[in-house]
Amino acid sequence: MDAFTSENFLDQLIHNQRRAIRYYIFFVVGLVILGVLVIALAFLSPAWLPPSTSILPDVFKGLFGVGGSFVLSLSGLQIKDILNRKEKIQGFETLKRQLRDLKESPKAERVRAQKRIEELMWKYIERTALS
Amino acid sequence: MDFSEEQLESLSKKIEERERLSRHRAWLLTGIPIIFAALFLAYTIWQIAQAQTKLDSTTNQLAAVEQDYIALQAEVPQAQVALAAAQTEVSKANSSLATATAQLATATAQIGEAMSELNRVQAFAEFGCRIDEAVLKEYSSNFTLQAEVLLYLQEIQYRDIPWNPGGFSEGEGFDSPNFALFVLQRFNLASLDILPGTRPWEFLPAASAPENGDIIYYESGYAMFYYKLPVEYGGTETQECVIGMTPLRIRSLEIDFANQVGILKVPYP
Repeated sequence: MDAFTSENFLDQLIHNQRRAIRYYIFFVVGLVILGVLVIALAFLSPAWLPPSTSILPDVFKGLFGVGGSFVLSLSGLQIKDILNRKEKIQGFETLKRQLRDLKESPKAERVRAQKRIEELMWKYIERTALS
Repeated sequence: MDFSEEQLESLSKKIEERERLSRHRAWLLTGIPIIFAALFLAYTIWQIAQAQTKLDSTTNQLAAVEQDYIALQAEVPQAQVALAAAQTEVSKANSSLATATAQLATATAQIGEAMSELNRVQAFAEFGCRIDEAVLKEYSSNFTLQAEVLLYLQEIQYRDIPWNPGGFSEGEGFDSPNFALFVLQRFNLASLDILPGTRPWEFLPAASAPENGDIIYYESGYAMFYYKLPVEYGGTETQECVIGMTPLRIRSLEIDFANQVGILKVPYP
């Protein structure tokens, strides 16, 4: 595999991670919207519950508030995943930059260094993309 | 480390597969808690709705009880008036009852007296000693003073002279010893100086066996004139009678109508 192939492969990996980040962002946004909707439902419950009920409005407010907060907190897990993936992208970007810099170096040094960088790249890929 | 295009392709697929798994995991990690939370929330709300229903029912019952209570409170003054009236009635009834009880006690006492009187009458009636008219006529035909006394005693029985302790006249009545003294003085068989209240045994001598016209006195204080006469005219069977004042007026009784204490000899000429 030459440097060009490796760089293409890294691009593909970076693309994959970005696509995943987009996916998780949509996921987080969905959870946030769901949580906000639940909380809004809690606060608007007195408007649509029968006025004769004395317990339910307060209970609705409390329980749905807790439920909405719970859904919102679940989005935190996805944010953590997004940050991880951003770190991976940074790693891949660094490797890609190394490979690009290698093209401008002398051939003997380039071959040796490319091999070392490719080894480092695969180890990184194994640790990040396949773990 | 060298990779062919195929290996890279395979590696890409693996990475893609990993990505899919990672997304599924994200869905599961988010979806399962949300489903459980939703179920828990629904169950809690259902429980609260049940409690609300019970609370509403209890509130309605309480309202009904309150209404009943208010209605009862409105009836209290009326009930108090009725109670006061009933208490007045009870007081009147108690008063009437006390009066009736007193009347009953009086009536009971009167009945008791009447019963004891009746018992006495019955006792005297059981010991009644009837003197045959023909026997009396024959006995009085010898004109002795004993016979005159007997005739007088027979005759005075029908005058309805009352029993009166301490009395000493036909009008006011007698007790038994005073009547005996009155008869004795009437026939001059005792001194007129002897005062009423003096008992015959205080001025007459005792005798061992009675004869006609003598006095027998009894434990209860009776002083009775003694006569032994035939039961029937011309018959041989005799009967012993005593005549004198009793609580049932002047009566002719059998000799043993009460316990004898002694016999007094009357000084007939």
